[in-house]
Amino acid sequence: MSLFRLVYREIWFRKLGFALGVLAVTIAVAALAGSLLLLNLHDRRTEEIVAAKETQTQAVMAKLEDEIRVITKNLGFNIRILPKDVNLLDFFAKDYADKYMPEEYVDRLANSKIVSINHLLPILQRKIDWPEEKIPALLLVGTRGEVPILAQDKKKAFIPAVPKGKIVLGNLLERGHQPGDAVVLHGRKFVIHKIQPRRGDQDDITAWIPLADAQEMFDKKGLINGMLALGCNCNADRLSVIRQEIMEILPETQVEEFETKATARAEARTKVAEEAKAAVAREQEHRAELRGEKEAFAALLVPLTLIAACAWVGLLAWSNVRERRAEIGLLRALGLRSVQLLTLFLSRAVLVGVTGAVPGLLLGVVVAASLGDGATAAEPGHVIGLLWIIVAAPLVAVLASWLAALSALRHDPANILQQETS
Amino acid sequence: MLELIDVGKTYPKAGSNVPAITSVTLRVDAGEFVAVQGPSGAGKTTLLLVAGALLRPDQGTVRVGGDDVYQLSNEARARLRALRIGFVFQQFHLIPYLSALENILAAGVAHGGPDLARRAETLAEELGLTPRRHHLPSELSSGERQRVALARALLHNPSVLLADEPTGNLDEQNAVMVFDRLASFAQQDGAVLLVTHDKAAAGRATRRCVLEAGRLSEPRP
Repeated sequence: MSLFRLVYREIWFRKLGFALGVLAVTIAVAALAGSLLLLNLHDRRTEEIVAAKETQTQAVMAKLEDEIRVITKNLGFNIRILPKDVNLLDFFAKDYADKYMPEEYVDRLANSKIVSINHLLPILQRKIDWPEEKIPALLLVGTRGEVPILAQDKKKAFIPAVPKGKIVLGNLLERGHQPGDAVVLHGRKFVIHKIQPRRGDQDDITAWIPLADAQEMFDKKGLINGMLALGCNCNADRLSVIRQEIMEILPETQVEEFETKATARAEARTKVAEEAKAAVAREQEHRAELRGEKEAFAALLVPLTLIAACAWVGLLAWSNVRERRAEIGLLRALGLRSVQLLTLFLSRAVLVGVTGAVPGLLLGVVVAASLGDGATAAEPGHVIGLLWIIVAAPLVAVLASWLAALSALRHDPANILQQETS
Repeated sequence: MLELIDVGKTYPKAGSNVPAITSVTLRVDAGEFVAVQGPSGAGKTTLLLVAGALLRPDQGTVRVGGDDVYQLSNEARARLRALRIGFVFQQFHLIPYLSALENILAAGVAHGGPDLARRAETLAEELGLTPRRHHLPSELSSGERQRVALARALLHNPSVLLADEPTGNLDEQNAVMVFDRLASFAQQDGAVLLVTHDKAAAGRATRRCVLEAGRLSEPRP
C-alpha cells in the first residue's frame, strides 16, 4: 500500500474535515482571484470609457475644425502683409493699399521655412466704380488663390483661385444676375462664377477676379498690394512672432493683424480642445478614484480572508493530527520515517489547496464577471495569469499545515502506545 | 535473535526518576516463545517498547539479529522496525479508515516489498479473515481485529514478534487461535516475546520469565 492511498482513504473517511478546509481555501481564492479580476475589469472598462470619450472628442474637434474653416473663411484672414511704405491711415480710409510690392514676394514667403502663418493669399485690390452696372463703388480683388506654404503640411485651401475669365460677386452686386451670366466690367467681359451669400460686411460689395486680370486692368503686371494669411494659433505674443518671421524674409513689408474675431474663434477652438482633454482627464481621475476605493477594499478583504483561511486550514490540520495520534504511534512502530510522516500530512494539505483553488478561481471569475463594471470581459491573458493561484494555494495550505505536520513528528510513538495500552 | 543486556529505563516523575525496568537481561533465540509475566505496572510494556526499538533505554544494550538497535541511525532503526520486528498490541491499533486487508498491508507503507498484496491475502486466509477482508475495523469483532493486527505484524515475515497482552480483549476461542499462531511463528524459527499479566497465557510459552518492580527473573522449572 502506498502512502498516497493512505492519504486518499483518510480524506474519504474524514470528509467533513477535508471539506471544511477546502471551503476555506475556496473562499480565500475566490476573494483573491475575484479582487484581482475586478481591478482588471475596472482598468479595462476605464480604457473603454476613455477611448470612447477620446473618439467623441475627436469627432467634436473634427466638426469644430470644419466650422472654424467656414467661420474663418467668412471672416476673412487675420493677418495682412502690406508694402512697407503704405500709410495705414490712407489704407483704412480707402480700403486698399496704394503702394505695391512684387508678386514674387508671395512665392518667397511660401518657399521659406515660415511656420507662424497659414493660408497665404496674394491680392491686388482697388476700390472702383462699375459703370456698366451703375454701381458707384465696389472693392475689386484680384486673387490667384491660395499659395501652398512649403514648410507646412498641405492644408485645405480657404479660397480657391477664381477661374480665368470668371468673376465672383458679393451679394449686393448681383443686380439680378445669375451664375453663368456674362457681365462687363470696365470694358472687360467676365462670366459670373458664383454669387456669395449675404454676409453683412464689406464682402457684400466685393468682386473677385483672377489676379492676372486685375494686374492687367490696373496696369500693375507682376505686382500686388497685399497678402492675406491666417496667423498661427499660438499662445505667445503671436503678432510679434509673425512680424519677426516675416520681416526676416520680406524686410520691405509691414504686418498688421486686423481680424481678431478669427483669432478669438481659433482660440475658442483651442479652449474647446483643452476642455475636451480636461473632461477625459477628469474621467480618468474619477476612474482612478473608483479604482482606489476598490483597491482599498481588496487590500482589506484579501488579506483577511487569506489569514482566516490559513488559520482555519492550520487549525483543521492540527485537529487532524490530534485525532490521528494513535495512528501516528502505530505507523511509527511500523517503521514510518519522519519524511514519510511529513509527506502523509502535507500531501493532505496540498490536496486541500488544489481542491479549494480550482472552484475558488472559478467562483472568483464568476463573481468578478457579475460585478464587473460593465466591461465586456476580462483580458484572457489576465485570466490565464490567475492560474498561478492554483499553484500558490497548495503551497500556502502546506505552510498553514506545517506546524501541525511538525507536531506529528514530535509525537513519541512509545508514549502514545503506552497510553493507548494502559 | 533478540537480546537485552543489562537494560534499564527510568521515567521522570515529580522531580525524581522512577525506575520502570532495572538491569534486565534477556535473550530470545530463534524458535523460542518467551513470555514475561508480571502484574500491572511491573514494566512489561516498557520492556516491550525498549525491545521493539521504540523506546531508548537509559542503560544497557538491545540487539536484534546482532545489530545494536540504539546505535543505529533513526532511519536504520525505522527500517529495522518495519522489516524485522512485528508488533501485536492489546488495543489492536488498527487504522479506522482502512479495510481489514488494507490494515494488513499498512505494514508495507514504510517499506514496500515484493508480493505483499498476495502475502496479505494468504495471511488473511490463514487467519480466517478472507470473508471479512473488505470490512472496516469498526465492522469487525475483537477477535477478528486482533487477527488482522497479527497478520499485519507477520506481513514482512519478521524475525522477532513482540506481543503485549494480545489476548487481553479476546474470548477463549480467539485467544487460542492467537497463541497457536504465535507458537507457529516460533516454530518457523521466529523469536516471540510475549508480555502478559495472565499466568495462563504465559503458560503457553516455551519459556517463562517474571517481571516484578522492573526486575526480571526466570523461575526454575
